[in-house]
Formats: sequence, structure tokens, C-alpha cells
Amino acid sequence: MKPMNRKNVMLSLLLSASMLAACSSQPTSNGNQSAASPSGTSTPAATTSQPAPASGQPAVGGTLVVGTLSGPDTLNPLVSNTTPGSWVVNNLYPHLMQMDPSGKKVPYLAESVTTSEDGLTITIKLRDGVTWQDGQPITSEDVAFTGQLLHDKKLQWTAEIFDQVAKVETPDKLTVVYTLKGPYPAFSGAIGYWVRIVPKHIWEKVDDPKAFENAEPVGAGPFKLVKYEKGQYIELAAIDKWFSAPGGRPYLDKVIFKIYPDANTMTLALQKGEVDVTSSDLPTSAAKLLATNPSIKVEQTASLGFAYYSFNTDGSKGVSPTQDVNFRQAMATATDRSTILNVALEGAGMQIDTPISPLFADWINPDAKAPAYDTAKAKEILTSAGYSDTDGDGILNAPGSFGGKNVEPEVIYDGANVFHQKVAKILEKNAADIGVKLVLKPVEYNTLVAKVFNERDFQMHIGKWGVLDEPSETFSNLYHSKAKNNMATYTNTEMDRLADGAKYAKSEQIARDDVKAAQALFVKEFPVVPIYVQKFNLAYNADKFGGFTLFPGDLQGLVDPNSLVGVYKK
Amino acid sequence: MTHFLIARLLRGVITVLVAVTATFLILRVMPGDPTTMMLDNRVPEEIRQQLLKDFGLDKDLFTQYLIFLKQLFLGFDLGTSFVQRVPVMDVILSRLPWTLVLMSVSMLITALIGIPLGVIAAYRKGSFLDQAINALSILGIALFIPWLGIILLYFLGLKIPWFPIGGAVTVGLEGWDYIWDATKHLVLPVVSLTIVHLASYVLYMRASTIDVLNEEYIRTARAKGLKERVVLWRHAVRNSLLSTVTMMGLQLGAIVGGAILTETVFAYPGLGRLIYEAVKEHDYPILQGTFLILAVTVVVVNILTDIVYSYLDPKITNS
Repeated sequence: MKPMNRKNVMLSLLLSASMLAACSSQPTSNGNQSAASPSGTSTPAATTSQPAPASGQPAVGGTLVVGTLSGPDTLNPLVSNTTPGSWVVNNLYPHLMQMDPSGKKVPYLAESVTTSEDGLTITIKLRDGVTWQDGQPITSEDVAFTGQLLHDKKLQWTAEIFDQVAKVETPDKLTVVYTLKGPYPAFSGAIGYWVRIVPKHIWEKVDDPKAFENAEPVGAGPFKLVKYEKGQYIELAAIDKWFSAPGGRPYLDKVIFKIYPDANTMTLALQKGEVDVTSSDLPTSAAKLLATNPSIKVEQTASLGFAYYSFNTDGSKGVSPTQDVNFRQAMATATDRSTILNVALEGAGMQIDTPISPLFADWINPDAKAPAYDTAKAKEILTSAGYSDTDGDGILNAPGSFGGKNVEPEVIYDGANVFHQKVAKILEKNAADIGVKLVLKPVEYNTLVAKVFNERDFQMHIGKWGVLDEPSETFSNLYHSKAKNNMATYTNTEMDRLADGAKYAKSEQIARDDVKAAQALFVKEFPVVPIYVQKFNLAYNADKFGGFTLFPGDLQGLVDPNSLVGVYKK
Repeated sequence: MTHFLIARLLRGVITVLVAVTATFLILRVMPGDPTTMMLDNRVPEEIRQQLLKDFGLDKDLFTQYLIFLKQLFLGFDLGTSFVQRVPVMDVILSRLPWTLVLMSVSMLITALIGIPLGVIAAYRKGSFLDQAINALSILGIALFIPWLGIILLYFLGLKIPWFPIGGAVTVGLEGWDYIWDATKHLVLPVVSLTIVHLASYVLYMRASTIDVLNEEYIRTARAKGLKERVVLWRHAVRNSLLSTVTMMGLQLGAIVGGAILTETVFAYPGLGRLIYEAVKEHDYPILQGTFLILAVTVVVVNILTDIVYSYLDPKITNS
């Protein structure tokens, strides 16, 4: 009975695949290409704003239904840590800064953020006349209080940023001055972009902010919460006055986040008009199908992170070729990254050479390139490093200094991640071409986290970073010998020096120089091999709504507050 | 009868205890812990340890278990959801009604269609009608719910827009509009559950009716000159229903399994999806709570089944 069942499942999957294929071969009016066209290759976050109707201001009114794959983790703005949480909570609580469509951080609730010459004093001026939803003004007290609360109660990772603060002052109602213990160029961007400001007069009365449900949020933003039906929808209503809205207030009356745990169902709802825009990334097959629908516009936005495969360079658990820089160089050279991009991602991605995403063009070292795909050269590297098939079983043996055994590292990855599954297959073949046997081991996500992040018990793994928004901190966060996220346990004093140098630089120019030098070092060492930057597929009903702005990454996408304030019903 | 009931209840309580303990253990043996999803991976280890301590997960397994039992039996408290920061009972109560409606309507419809079909197939054993009923219902078992769901939504939601695409109710409706809208949302999930579960009803009913029709008392009834209709629907069906009723009670677990998939594909806000989400988030209190409710439901349904059974066949109580 069991094998029979599996066969049925396979059969139905095949049938459903052929159904989707059949749907996508419907007559096309705006061409099949639009989903695949890389709208964001050169300018990663193209704006999609459309001119307002000829009459001038778009009319006020209308309800926008946003499709999301899951609901917010919690409405508590100080602990919420998921992307679906951000989509909702960011519309209810303000940040000091926001990322603009080009990936640059700009003041939002703050009117200006200035750093002193010596990099030690950060002065934040708030906008005048912005109020909480209970009518109280937003003041410098609220900002100082929020930071203090996060730091003292250790509510989320952002608590750590405030370790760098020597003192906070609030000389007047609209000014906050942070004095830092040492220069830290990412400070204002990190707190500006990540910390949601909460009203002091409400949160100082909360006993345990970590366990606080926040069922009736009093925030400040273009929208307020009307109703949250768990597992079904979140209903938001427009506020009468919001500074970032082109019309003085959102054109929309209501925004409803509706939860569709199955992406196929959400796609059907979008086609039918029951959903107007998606906040969650759609599978490429669905995006291609939607691109054939003349009412639907599909947009692609590049991730602020990247996907990679990593080696364990830690020698303390016994020798392994993954500690050998020659083996890592050979693997990097044997990796067919363009096939990965075209086959595994079906083109929905960008190449990346170093951990610094092409989004941050100012920070890229043009000379630090990943090696071109060249199997012969990769073999050569291994041969000259002493790798040879001494036992004649078709698999190379490591040189004696790295154990002398067959080179057959185990690669673990999230078995539910369709992209990583395909990447693993391509890597397996790339490695086989140079005589290396990769033992693929798909695991459940929680096991992956336990093995890789908590225990660092792996030889190789495939993974990805979601949002790396501060290039000056990237090396320090990921490849410093003491970094928590340096799962490769990569240890290099020069790298540590450059990473610290960039993170604690007095000026952005110095930070950039160190980041560029770190990239040059990185491509000689390859503790991990970056493989691509994914592009997320988002879609909206262009017959019914206009005025969206596309922001970088799926954290903001089309449902960032600064996009929703400009959306109008046609 | 009283003795029979007490024995059944006692067995039920033990079953629930075992189920609760098993759930408690399995959750903690599962790789990973709740901090994985709740904390950003930039969080320093001390913050993670503090959170585990807040949840009481730093204590040894046995102490955790004692605290859990004490909370459950002395305080009737299922705890607070790790992720949502809301009492588990509130979370469950907001989801339970949807699942109950979905389950009971689909079980009722499945029984109303499946039982007569099974009887007819048995009566016409070997005929074309019998083979057609068999083939069609077996086809139902073979269908994969997410696939069936998408097909139904595609044809009856999008191409012929009779039914909404997913969800339980349209936002902002009240009164009769709400009920009518909720009913429309219920149709496709019920249809897919019915299609998938119909076969077991038909096949059980068919098999037991065939057995019963060979019994002596049916021959006696016919010999008495009773009408064929009376022989079949009064004498035979009453007896063949026995095993089908048992099967319905036992099947509850499988139906919950089906509900997870159905609720996911139809974006229906029931308990099945709550379980699915809580497993991903490692929200132990939610899972302990839902599995307790499910265990109690299965036990209660089985006790009820036994009572119905004893009513249908008085011999049961004596054995």
C-alpha cells in the first residue's frame, strides 16, 4: 500500500504540473517575457509608480487586499522578527530611517541624522508635529526610551547595537544625541532601519515587554489596526494625516492582509481579483503564469542578502580538505554559477562575487572577482596541491596533511528549499567533474539550524543570508574569527583587522577601503562561496490599483508604508 | 451499563494521559528549539539562553514534565503561546469552531452519500453499478488533497466563479450575509474532504452489507415474505451499520490529518493549520494544547461510538 501511495502522489504532482503548463500557454497579450525580464538588474529597485490620473490627485477610497503566505509572528514591535511581521508592524510603528528604492537609507521619522567629524556623536532631529495614534506628540523621549528598553531587556538582536552607546541626551523635545564609545559608522543606519519606535507613555507601564501581546497597538504610521483575526486576516484603516503620504494621507481607506498558506491558492486569488497585491515571494512558475494575465503586473526585487555554500574550516574536530585553501579555491573554480542561476533559479537572480551584494555599488571592489567556471583549471589546482586518486576508486584522495582519505565531504541543506535542492544537484555534478564526491544530505530546517548555527557540526552546507543592509558590518558579522555567524569558523588575523577596521571606522571612506581590501582577501580564501542574489517575484493587479513603489528586498517589497501611502484605486 | 461506561471512561483517561505524555516528549526530542524562528541569527547566545529560561526550557525534562502536568491538572491551564504571547486556550478557541464546522459537515455529507452508495453496491454486487461505485470511490482515495483543492479552486473558483478562492469569510460582513458568505467558503473544502473520505465509507458499508445479506436472519426475513426494501434497509442496514460506525470513530485521526492539508490549500483558519504553523515555529504550548484537545476528542468520539454501538447491538454491553 505504501509505495502505491507514493506513486499516486507523484502522478498527481505530474498532472498538476501539466495543468499549470497548460494554463500558461493561454494567449498572451503582453508577452511571456515580462516575468523573466530582469527589471532590476542595473537599477535593482526600479520604481513602478505610475502617473496619477489626469484629474490631478487620485481619489481617496478603496480597500487593498494584500496576499501573504503567513501572518505576523506577533504585533509586538520590539520583538517581532519575521518578514510577515514586518509587513504589518512597519505600517503601525515608525522607524527613524527607511531604505529608499535605490537601497540607500534616508531619514523617515527623523528629519535629519548627522554624525560628527570624529564619528562619536550622532544627532537625530525628529519631524515636528507627528503624533501617536492617541494624539500624544512623538518626542525625543520616546526615541531614547525605546533604545533603553531594547537594550536593558535584551528584546531582540538590536539590543547589542546600543552596547556602543556611552550616553544619550535629549536636549529638546525633537532632538536626540547619542555619544558613542568609539566610532561606529553603521550605528545610525542600524538603529534607524531596524528599531521601531514605541510610545514611552504606554510601554513604560508594560510589565514584561518581551511577553507583551500588544493586541491593541497604539503606534504611529499611515495605518492603524482595526482587527486581527488570527489565521485569517489583519485589517488596517488609514490615518487622516501622515507626513510621507503624497496626498497628506493614504489614498486607500483600508488595507487587508489576507493569509494564504499555499502560494498556488494565492496566485489563483490574484488572478480572480480577490487579492490585489502579494507581499510574499511567488514561485517562478506562478510568476510566469501571472505574466500572461494582462491585468497583473509582475515585479522583481533583488534580495538584500545572498545564497552561498560554506566550508567548515575548523581543524579542532579533525583534519578535512575543507580546511585546505586549495580545495576551496578548486571548488569555487569548479562551480558553474551561471547554470545555477539559469537552471536552479530560472533566471530570477543576479551573480555575486563576494559577500557584498551588487546592490551596494559604492562598496564593490571591481578587482575582487570569483574565479570563472573552469573545470580544467580546478583540477590543476588540486593536482598541484597534491590531490590524486591513490586508491584508484575514481575519487581524489586528499594529500597526507589533510588526512589522505577520499575527498567526499557531506553537504547539508534545507530539504524543503527548492532552490537549494537544485543548487545541491548542480554542485554535486560540478564536484564530480573534478573527482570530488559530494555526499548530499537534505535535512529539515530546524535540524539545519541546530547543526550549522548552534553546533557548527558540518563539513559543507548550503545557506543564505536574508538582509545584509550595512556593508561596513558584513565582514565583521560573517567572517570575523569571533563572529557568531562565522559558522565556517574561519580564522584569519588580516580578515579580523579589516572587518574591525570597517566596522569601527571614523569615516565611511575608511570603512569602504577596508571592505574593499576584505573582498580582495576573501576571493583568495573562500571560507564560503557566494553563489547568487535571489530576485523575489511580487505581483499586483494593475487594472484595479496604481501608485505602487518597489523597494529592495522582500522585507519592504511593494507593501512598505512608503509604497502603500501612494497606492490608489483606479 | 454503568459498569461498562466507567470502564470505558477509565480507559479513555489513560489514553489521553499517554497521548499527552507522548506529545510532550516528541516535541522536546524534535531537533531545534523555539528560539530558532523567534530570534534573529545575529542575537548573542546569552539572549537566546535567557529566552529558553523564560520558557522554562532550561530545566531538565522531568521537571518540565511535572510543571506541565501540575499546570494542566491543578490549574486547567494550557500555558501561553511562545510566539504569539497569547494564552493557548484563546488561540485554540479562535480556531476550533472552523475545524468543527468543516469536519462535522464533511463527515455528515460523506456518511449521507457513502452509506446508501455502499448498500446499493452490496445489493447489486457484481453489477455494472457496483463496479462504477467502487471505481469512483477508490479514485477519491487516490487523490492528493492539495492537487484536488487547486483543481477545484481553478475550475469552480476562477473559471466558473461560483465559489471564493480560499479563506473562511469575506472581511466586513454581518448577519445573514456573513452566514451565506461563510457557507460559500465552506463548500469547496467540504467537497474535497468528502471526495477523499467517501471511499472508506462506501467500501466498509458495502463489505459489511454483503456479509449481513448472507446471514440466516435475512433469509428468514425474506421467507416471512417481507418486502425486499424492508429486508434491505431495516434488517440488513441496521446490522451492517455497526462496523461502519466503529470505523467512523477510528477514522477521526485520519480526518484530522486530511484537515491539515485541506485547511492549508483552502486558507481555512482551523486547527489543522494551527498545528502546521506551530510545528514550524516549535511553539510547544500550542502543540501540547491542540494534541490534548484532539486526544480528548478522539477518546470522547470513541466512547460515544461504543454507546451508539451498544444501542444498535445490546449484546456489546454484556461482554
